[in-house]
Amino acid sequence: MPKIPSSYQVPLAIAVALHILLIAFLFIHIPTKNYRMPGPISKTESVKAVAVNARQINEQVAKIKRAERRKKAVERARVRRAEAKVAAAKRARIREQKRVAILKAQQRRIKKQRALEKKHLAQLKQKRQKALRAEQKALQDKLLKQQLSAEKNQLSKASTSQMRGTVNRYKAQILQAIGQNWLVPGGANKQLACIYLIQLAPGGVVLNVKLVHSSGNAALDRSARVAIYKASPLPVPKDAALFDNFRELRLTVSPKTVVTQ
Amino acid sequence: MLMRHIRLVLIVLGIFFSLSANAALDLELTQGIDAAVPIAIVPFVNEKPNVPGKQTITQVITNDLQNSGQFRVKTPGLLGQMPTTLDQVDIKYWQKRGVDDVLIGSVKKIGFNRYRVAVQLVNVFTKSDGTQKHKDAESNPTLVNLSFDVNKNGFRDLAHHISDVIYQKLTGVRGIFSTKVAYILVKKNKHRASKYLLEISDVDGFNPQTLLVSKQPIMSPAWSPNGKNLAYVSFEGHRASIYLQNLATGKREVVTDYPGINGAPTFSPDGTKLALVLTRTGNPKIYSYDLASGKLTQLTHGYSIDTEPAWAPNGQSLLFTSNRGGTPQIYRYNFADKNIVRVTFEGNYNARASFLPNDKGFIMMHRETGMFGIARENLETGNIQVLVQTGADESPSVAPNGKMIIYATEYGERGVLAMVSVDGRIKLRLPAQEGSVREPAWSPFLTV
Repeated sequence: MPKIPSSYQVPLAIAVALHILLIAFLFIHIPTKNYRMPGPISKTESVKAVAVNARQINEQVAKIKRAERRKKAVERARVRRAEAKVAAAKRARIREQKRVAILKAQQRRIKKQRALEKKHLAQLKQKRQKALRAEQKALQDKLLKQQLSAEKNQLSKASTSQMRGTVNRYKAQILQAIGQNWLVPGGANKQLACIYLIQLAPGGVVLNVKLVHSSGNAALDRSARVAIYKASPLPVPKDAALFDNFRELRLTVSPKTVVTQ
Repeated sequence: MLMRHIRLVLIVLGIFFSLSANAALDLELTQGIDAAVPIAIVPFVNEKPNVPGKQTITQVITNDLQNSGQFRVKTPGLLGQMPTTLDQVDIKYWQKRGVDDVLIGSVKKIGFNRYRVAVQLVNVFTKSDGTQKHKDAESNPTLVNLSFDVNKNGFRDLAHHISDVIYQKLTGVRGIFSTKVAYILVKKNKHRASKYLLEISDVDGFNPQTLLVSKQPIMSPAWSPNGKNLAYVSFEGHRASIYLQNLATGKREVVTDYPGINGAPTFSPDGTKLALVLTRTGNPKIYSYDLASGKLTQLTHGYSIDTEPAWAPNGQSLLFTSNRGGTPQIYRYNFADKNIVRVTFEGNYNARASFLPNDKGFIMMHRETGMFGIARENLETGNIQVLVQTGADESPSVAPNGKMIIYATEYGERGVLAMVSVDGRIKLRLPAQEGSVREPAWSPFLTV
């Protein structure tokens, strides 16, 4: 049974009451009108006419006749009136029925609309929920990310000084390893410098060496490359995270000081 | 499902970015070692000890490189690998043997007294890019790949030339193995008078050729900048004269024969003038002599003894020895303003200066605590470094690449030639000859 919204409850009640009233009127009022017939009055008058003369009788008859006619006319009029009343009632009923039908149709329409609205609402709700969920998810992700990076930051901050120390220690060891293998060519100018990009595998094995800036002295460039390969594997941290710093080295080589062994 | 994919992509991207974030750690190497480069010289295919001096080509090259002090030559033993072609050079093998470069080669007879000598120098620490052409030289392990056609008499010169090519390739400095040394050889005889010979030999002491033999002293040989002429002092006829001799034709002419001393000739860097010492005013003084016009210009004056002029490579100044301060010291004469300044202040005897090729320093004979040695002075700082000091070291002469110094010293009561590197690290004695050798003069670069 569909629930009736409060906004429709009052008009519906009025409509139902009106219907009951109408039905009651139709069934009760019409029979009372049928029973109200003027019979006894005409009986007593006809008894009196026996005693009067013809003229009188004629007059009487005419009078009666007129009265009858009048009565008939009145009756007819009354019947007509009653009929009219019935017709009116009928019309009213039909009207009422029509109205009810319209009302019902309206109700149906409203119901339909309401269902539609409901459906729509549900859809909307779903959509909004979806959006909300997505938003929540994004927020969560963001939060997680923030947390992660914050943690990372904290972690790196906490271990940065320590890490920097470790990295620097390995840097010094790498320079020492290469320097010990670097035979500076006799003709190399102290001002010259070449730059190599060195790729290392975990464990420090030199994978690739690429000259990115030549000193202009091919012999000096070559001596540096030979030193890099000779020093392989280079001393690098065993820890994977720390080693990440050493995957690629950018080594500037310049014979500022040359040690005689 | 989709979300999971996206997350995966995000993670991958994150790794990527974190990687690129800490890319390329910067390092700076500023200290290396001054040590000899280890090089393997594999005996050439089909080579025989038929090089003048009964040596093989690789023996001559080995000797050259070893004596330069810049190389430590390794020769594979009987059981070692002996690659004959580039394909046979086992990079890993030579790396393990502690060698940087490998020299291989072959000798092939291609006609009557005609030989084709092919040489290849391979750097065992250069990764080949796999292609034959090697677009950039950086990825080409073959540093030298040459072929020469010579006859038997040319073997020795060719060996020196190959040494030059290797030296230049690996040190970045032009090699001096094909240059010559002029010197005076004195042959003393108990029963007869001494003989003086002006000779020219390879820098390793081989292949001596006599230019002049005299019963009177010969002194102060000096090379012309183009290496085609030699100026020297000869006492032929019992008086000193300065001669100029063409090495190709042997023809010679007298430059100056003024009364008294005609000594210590040296060429100006452009070869148009000679600086020399004359006693026209009574005391030995420095003069400039124009070879084309014969015009003589006196550069130093006074009562002191001024001698042993040495032209600066840029031609703008002269170094000379003078006793004007009481002891023999080095002074510098400036051509522009004719100013003379003293440049040596350490030691009580500094003489026989000669410039290094870069104008920034010079080499000289230097005496401290009664011992004669060879020293180098930096003209900018005035610092002196004693390179060698055995007590009787004299007449230093600088190699044209400025890396080595040849000088005369005494060994077994005989005069011999010896060499020292300009940093004093390498010292070696050249093979002794019959007689006493003195006053070596290193030639300029001779091959064009």
